[in-house]
Amino acid sequence: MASSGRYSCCVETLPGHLDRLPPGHDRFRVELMSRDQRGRMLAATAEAVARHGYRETTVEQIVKGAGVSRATFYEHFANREECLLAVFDEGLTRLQERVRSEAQGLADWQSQVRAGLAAILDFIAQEPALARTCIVETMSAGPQALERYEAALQSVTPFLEAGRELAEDGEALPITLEDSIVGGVVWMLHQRLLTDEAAAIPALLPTMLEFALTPYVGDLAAGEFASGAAV
Amino acid sequence: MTRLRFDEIQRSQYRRLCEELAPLAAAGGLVDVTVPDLERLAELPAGTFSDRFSDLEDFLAAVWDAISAELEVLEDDAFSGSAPWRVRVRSVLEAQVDYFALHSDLARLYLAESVFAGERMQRRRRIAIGRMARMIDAGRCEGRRNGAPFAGADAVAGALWTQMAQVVRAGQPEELRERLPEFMYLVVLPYCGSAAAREELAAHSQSR
Repeated sequence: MASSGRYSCCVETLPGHLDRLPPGHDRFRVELMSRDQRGRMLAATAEAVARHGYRETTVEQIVKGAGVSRATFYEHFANREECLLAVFDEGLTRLQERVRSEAQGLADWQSQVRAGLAAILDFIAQEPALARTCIVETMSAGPQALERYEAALQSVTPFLEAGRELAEDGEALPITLEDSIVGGVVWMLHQRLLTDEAAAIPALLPTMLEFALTPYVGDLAAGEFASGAAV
Repeated sequence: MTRLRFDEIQRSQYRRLCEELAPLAAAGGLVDVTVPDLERLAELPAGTFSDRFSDLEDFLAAVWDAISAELEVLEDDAFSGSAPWRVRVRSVLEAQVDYFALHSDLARLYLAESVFAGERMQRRRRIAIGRMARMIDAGRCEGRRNGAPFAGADAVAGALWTQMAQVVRAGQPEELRERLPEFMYLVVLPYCGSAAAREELAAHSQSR
């Protein structure tokens, strides 16, 4: 499919995207059809929002992109914001699965941070439209979306807090340290997505690792570990 | 009786709109602000707003620019001079938190509500944070970096902004000053190392 605008690639990996089912009337098929329609609407929303921005995205654009009727849209979502939140939840779930599969089983905390962060950066580079929708546009889509966004960021902090055990004086570190680290990393991602530089995001890994690890393991160890990530 | 000039009337109308926007946004959030509400509270005739601004974001951009210009003067003043970088960057942060504490409604517009606006505001926020990142990265000439720029200065500036926005959104801008040592910890750590960063935190516990 040819597309134009901010992102040339489609969000093909959202469930059911551009993958229509044949017509039919049995109950099982109706349920599958409904799921398929939902997946297509989520994919169309991610593409439209990444291309036009949330404020300029209309239900019309979504239903057209998904190949469904307005009535179908409103069977699934109360409004545009609910649909955006569903895209956000879907993206977050997939990202968490990716991070879990990359980081689990690794022996030490630093390696887990590196693997998790690398998984996040790769995911974003592979899915720039979905990432832009979730990281840039959700943040500006109103208080409810912002709340969901901040809850997602908060879910990362317990994992980082485990690093305090490695620090010389972990309890003395600022209580908001993990919020700050997450905020800083997300800001860097936000900037690259805003300027359509998603492909360059994986190269940020050493800088982000150094930023995230230094408070826990010290500047020298963090620098060395981050340099290893660059290789 | 002296008649007001047209540009004076416009300035007065603009000021009244500004004065009403900040508390209105602080009370219910920018997304719930409407132009008719704004005109009614500013006691201006209907249509006054649209004579000058194309929409709320256009107006917010004008207010943002005014706040930003004031902050830039304060920041430049704080960062100038020959004192060590740590002292100068602390002065910048002090100037910022004092400004935000003094003008809590404007702080909410500038730091918190602006995220709900569109691309024009995103660009402005990016420029403001980039400016802060450059002041932070001036630390590359001190400590362990030997003049090499640190790409993570962006992350530090973004982290500071995020933290300040959260405090302001929670309606507690006066707490920003208490958070200064934590902010300084983040700024100093990548440039001067852990020991220096902990000194900033120690200043915190002493001041408490």
